[in-house]
Amino acid sequence: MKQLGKKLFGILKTMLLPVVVYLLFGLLSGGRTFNERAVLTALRTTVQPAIICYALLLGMSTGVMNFSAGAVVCCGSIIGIGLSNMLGWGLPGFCFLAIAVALLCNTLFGLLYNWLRVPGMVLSLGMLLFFEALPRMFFPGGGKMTQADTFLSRSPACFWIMGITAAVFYVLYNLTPFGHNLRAVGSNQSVALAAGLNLDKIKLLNSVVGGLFLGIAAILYMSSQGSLFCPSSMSSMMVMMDAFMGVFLGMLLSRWADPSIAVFCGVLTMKVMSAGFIAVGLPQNWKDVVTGFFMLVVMAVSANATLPAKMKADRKFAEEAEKEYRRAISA
Amino acid sequence: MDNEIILSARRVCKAFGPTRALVDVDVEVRKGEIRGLIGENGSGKSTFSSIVAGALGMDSGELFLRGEKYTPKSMVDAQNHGVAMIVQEAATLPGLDVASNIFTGRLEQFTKAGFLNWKEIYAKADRILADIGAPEIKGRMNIEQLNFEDRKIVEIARAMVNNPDLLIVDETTTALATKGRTLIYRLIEKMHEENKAVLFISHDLEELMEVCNTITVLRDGVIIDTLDKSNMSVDLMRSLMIGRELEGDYYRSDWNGRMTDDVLLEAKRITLRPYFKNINITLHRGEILGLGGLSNCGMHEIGRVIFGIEKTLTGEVVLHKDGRDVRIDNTVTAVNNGMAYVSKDRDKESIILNSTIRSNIVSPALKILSRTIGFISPAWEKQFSDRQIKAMSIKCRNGKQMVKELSGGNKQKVVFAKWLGTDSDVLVLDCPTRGIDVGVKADMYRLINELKHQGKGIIMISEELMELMGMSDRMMIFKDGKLAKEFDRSPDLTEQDIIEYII
Repeated sequence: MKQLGKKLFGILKTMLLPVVVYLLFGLLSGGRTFNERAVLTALRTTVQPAIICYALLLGMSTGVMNFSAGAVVCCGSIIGIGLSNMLGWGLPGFCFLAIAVALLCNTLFGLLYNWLRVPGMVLSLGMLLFFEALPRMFFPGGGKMTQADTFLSRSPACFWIMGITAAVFYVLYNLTPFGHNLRAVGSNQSVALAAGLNLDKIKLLNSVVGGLFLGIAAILYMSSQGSLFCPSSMSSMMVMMDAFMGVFLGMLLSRWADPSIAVFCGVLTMKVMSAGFIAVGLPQNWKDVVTGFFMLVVMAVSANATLPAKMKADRKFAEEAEKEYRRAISA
Repeated sequence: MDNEIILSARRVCKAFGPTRALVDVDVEVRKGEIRGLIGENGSGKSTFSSIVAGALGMDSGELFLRGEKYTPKSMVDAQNHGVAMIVQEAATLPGLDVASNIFTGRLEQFTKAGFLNWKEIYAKADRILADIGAPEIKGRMNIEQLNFEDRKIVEIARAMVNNPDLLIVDETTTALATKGRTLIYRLIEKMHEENKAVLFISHDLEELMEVCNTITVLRDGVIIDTLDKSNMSVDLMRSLMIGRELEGDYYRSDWNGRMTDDVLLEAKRITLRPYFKNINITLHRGEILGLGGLSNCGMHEIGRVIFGIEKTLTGEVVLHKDGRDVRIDNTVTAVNNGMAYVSKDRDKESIILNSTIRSNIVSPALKILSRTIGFISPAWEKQFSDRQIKAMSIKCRNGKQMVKELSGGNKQKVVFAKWLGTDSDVLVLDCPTRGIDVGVKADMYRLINELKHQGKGIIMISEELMELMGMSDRMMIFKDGKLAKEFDRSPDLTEQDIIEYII
């Protein structure tokens, strides 16, 4: 019971951040964001980056920052819809193919990571270029979805998808040996190896599972855009940018709540901020500056969260020492 | 094969490049036997135990476990065969809870339809911890809540998961204080009573004599002798280990006390939460000042405050240098003004393992090396580090060798070499001989004595009373963060005189 209470309190603390940011921008904009539509929009646009976040978080658990995640999403979206349209498989076919393509892409990433033994960041940049080029080879005109099929990215379908994906992530990360082994490898590879864990297998599996989440994100991305051009010159980075910012925030929030919730709250905070900037009429340049500054402040505050308490305790201890010294002198 | 034999090793050989770590090693360990394994750093004892524990493969030879051929593929495989090892280095997984640390690599046994049964995992972890005598540690605790010693206990629990028939304790006790040591001794006794066996590796010869019923001596990868209770003696073990009688006295032979009354460094009313308040320390030129007590008495932290790693909450640390008073409140000031520090946690704080011997040695001396024109010449670096390598007799291929490839004793020599190169006036040595063999220990003691005679001031922090008594001009004994007693060097001083102020 005590554990459950602690967990619930942690979740509440985590959810407090987007709520506070929402209230702040609501007040700053003169209440312009205090309406159901704005809330729904923020929640809806959070879904796809939050799912990309899960994939990024899995990679980061083993120390791999995957810059090719956005390109995999584009690849899954464009090749998935292109093949589905070509074969006449409709929406179910697209969903299946988008996930299959993303799984294949990430499996390839995982295999190369194990074989080449180059730093994950270096490999991901190389793979980013490859995955951006891949849809251009087969579907140079990009991909297009029928209007009727775009409902997946809208309410309520997107929230169902989010709920199910978060549950899958929670189960995989917390209730299976896979999640545990992943954290063990991320925690200390040499100890994990000595404990008999197969590092290569775990890292590959991690990449494959990451592909599953990127596949789901690809479905939502295509649904939200309707039509897509093939990415080039690293433009796919923009697809993962919200997730990228959110994952750091989510990692900080995960000290209070499970990552499946913390990551969502992290991305939601960023989305609420973006909407808030528009509401207060902040120019784009300033929006980027404030967003970057906000990230730095949050991370600095979080990293030094224990500092005030430590300083207070130190001061008290020094006062006690001072008193003891004076007592000793007077005696 | 004799039913009484648990482990039998026949003609086991292992080489690392051109270095032959084990040469035709034959060992038989019987049921109920507590076999000590001793030798200088690099003698092959850890290599042998790692092969038996599945952490290393052998080049040739055979192993038999309970009469059957035994070729462990990994440490988990070895554990599944009933062989477990507790190692010297920290081997826990930060960020995970205690239960996850205990069962890493074996979690599949707790799954139902692919899902982990955490209730069962925590319950079993609690049971194992209670069985080994640490019921206060719980499976649900985050490993980061625990101190170094309790983490080590978690590692012991991990080793005991499969109820092993052969337990290897590899230099673990040197890193532990009373609680951890007592727990290990109790476990060893239990193994003995249950007719199981233990391979016990330690540099503490008295401890080995206390714990083991047989002791095997290794030198340069070759078994020199196996002693039983009747012919064990510290002197014999020392001479068998290093292949010669230790010349002269092991510690200092003089009883002269400090060389001058010149004050070199003063710590005035230093305070650090939660360890100690208002501690005063004065160090003189040509003095070895010993700080002793139990591991948690605050003495290690005093060393850190003196060197500026931790900031004192009251008072100050003042170095008297060339007629000036220099306030030491950070490590940069300390190093720039001729202070040196050897940490108790050598691998984390004193050397960079993934760097070369040369880089480590020149790191505090870059200012000296770049003094002329501001640039550092690789030739000067080489010259400088080669000189230190030679002076300290570091066993290595050359200065380009990675520090992580060296034995414990040689790593410690690198630590000393890097500070000696800077010609430091004050040396704060926290457990300078921790985990190193008697041969290197004797060299270190000789060096510390030489430094004293050169007029350096040395603060030696140690948990070994004999070492403190043998080397210090003056000893400050701490208990619960307070100075319990100060002793001057004297031939009449006994361990008993000091112990009553420690406990």
